[in-house]
Amino acid sequence: MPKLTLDRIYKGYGSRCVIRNATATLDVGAHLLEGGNGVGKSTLLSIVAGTLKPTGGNVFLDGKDIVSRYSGSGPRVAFVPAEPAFFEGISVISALRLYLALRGDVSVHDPLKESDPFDLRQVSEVRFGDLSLGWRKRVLLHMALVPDTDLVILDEPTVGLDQSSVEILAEMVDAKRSDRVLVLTCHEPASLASANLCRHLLESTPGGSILRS
Amino acid sequence: MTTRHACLLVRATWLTYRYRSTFYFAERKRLIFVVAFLLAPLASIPELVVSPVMIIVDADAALRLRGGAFALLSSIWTIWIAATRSFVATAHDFTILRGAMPFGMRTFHAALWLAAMGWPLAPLSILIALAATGDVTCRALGALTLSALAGIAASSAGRYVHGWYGRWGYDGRSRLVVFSRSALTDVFPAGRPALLVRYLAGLGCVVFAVQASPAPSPDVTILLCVVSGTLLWIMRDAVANLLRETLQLAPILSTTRFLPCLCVARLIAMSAMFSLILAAVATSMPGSLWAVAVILTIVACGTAMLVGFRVMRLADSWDWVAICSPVIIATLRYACQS
Repeated sequence: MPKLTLDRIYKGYGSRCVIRNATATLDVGAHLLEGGNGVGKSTLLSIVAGTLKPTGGNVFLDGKDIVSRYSGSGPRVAFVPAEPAFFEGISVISALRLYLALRGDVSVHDPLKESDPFDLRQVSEVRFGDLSLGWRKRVLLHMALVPDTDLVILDEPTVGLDQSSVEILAEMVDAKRSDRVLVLTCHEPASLASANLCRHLLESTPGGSILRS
Repeated sequence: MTTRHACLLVRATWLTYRYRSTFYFAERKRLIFVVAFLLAPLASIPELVVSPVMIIVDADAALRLRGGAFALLSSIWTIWIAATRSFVATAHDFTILRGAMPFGMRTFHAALWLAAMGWPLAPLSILIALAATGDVTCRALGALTLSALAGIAASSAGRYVHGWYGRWGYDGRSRLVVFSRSALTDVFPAGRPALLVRYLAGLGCVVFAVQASPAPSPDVTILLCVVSGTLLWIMRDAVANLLRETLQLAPILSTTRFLPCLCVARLIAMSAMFSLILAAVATSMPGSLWAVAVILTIVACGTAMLVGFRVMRLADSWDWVAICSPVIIATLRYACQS
């Protein structure tokens, strides 16, 4: 079972410290990162995903440094940012095929055949650039949640989704939390109440935000 | 990484490039119509399309003509880079992929970005090689390899240097420090290959102009004035681009009342950089001091006009007055003499 460890994470921009000594151990399950605007939630998520280098400290997933996954067959990470972006010129089905291929999965002819929780079949031939915000979000959430992954990071996943999609998302998070670590931020946690989230607070202090688990 | 992965990435990049460019051009139908209306007659004559390249490599052509052809190609290339930059999608832009893609694949896609931006270099290099010598293969391959290597080096090295400059520039404790630091750092082409192209274009124009000016004469003065106007245009355009990038990076600057001061600081810093280039030309080319002095003086005067218009918050159309001022001066002088 994967385990996420944040070991004394510091992040600063110049002389300003944004995150101070964030230390936590997140077991398998769904974890909600709470905090006000600008406390560094997205920054911490980017560090956990390995897309942003911390000023100090390390992130380990299952004992392996999160950055080292680029060098070999490390843990699998899926990170859905608040702004859903992908190649606009290809269709939804091609986007899913491309994502799975780049992850190293075996050739998949129809990625929606086995599982299609967000009902993407109806837009499978529509180009990603022609989709609305909500549908774009659904495509990226499908990429992150459906394939096997050790760590899933979702930054404001409910933004742009309609009520039925939010309910599907909550069901998905609840179903997947038994075999992977899910970390997410959400300003409307009540909408994901059914997902049994374990809450962590990123609290703003004068010397930088601190993480309270 | 397998061939299939590479093919999928290339296809996604190309389709997105086509999607973004189609969307862009659909929004600007009038501009496209005008450009197409003007360019179609020219494009219908193949000799006109390749003539700049043929003139550059023609040893019998007048040096000024070769300089003009070089400046024309440089301008077209710069405009091409600026226009297509936003059409190219990179895997680095998509967070969902950054978390899933292996490092090797990301490196491959960075090279793909350069290929998408730089494809006109291939026919251009081949054309130059064809016209220059009969030995097509060696020259063409050499030019292509050098272009690709220079682009890759500038892009990969510049990314890190630019990151450092960015942190240093925007971490100041006061706005004045941020302004002065950003004015200094933004004139360096690190992380901005297009700015490097602009400096090289400026250097090329100056070298051709200096070579064509053995002695003071009205014709030579006109040529030097045209070169000075071109340099001012390059500076003005580069400053506008830098300003846009800075406002994206540091949104706090967009709300400040010191924005015109920032423009002025950058114009002065850019003028200083071009003065250094001119000084380097004067040092390396014996007998070029007179021509360099004329160009430098006119550039300084034009910059002063640009600065003045910026301080008075007169931009855009007034900028063109400053840029065209050297040509106006040269025309007046020619008219007075005749």
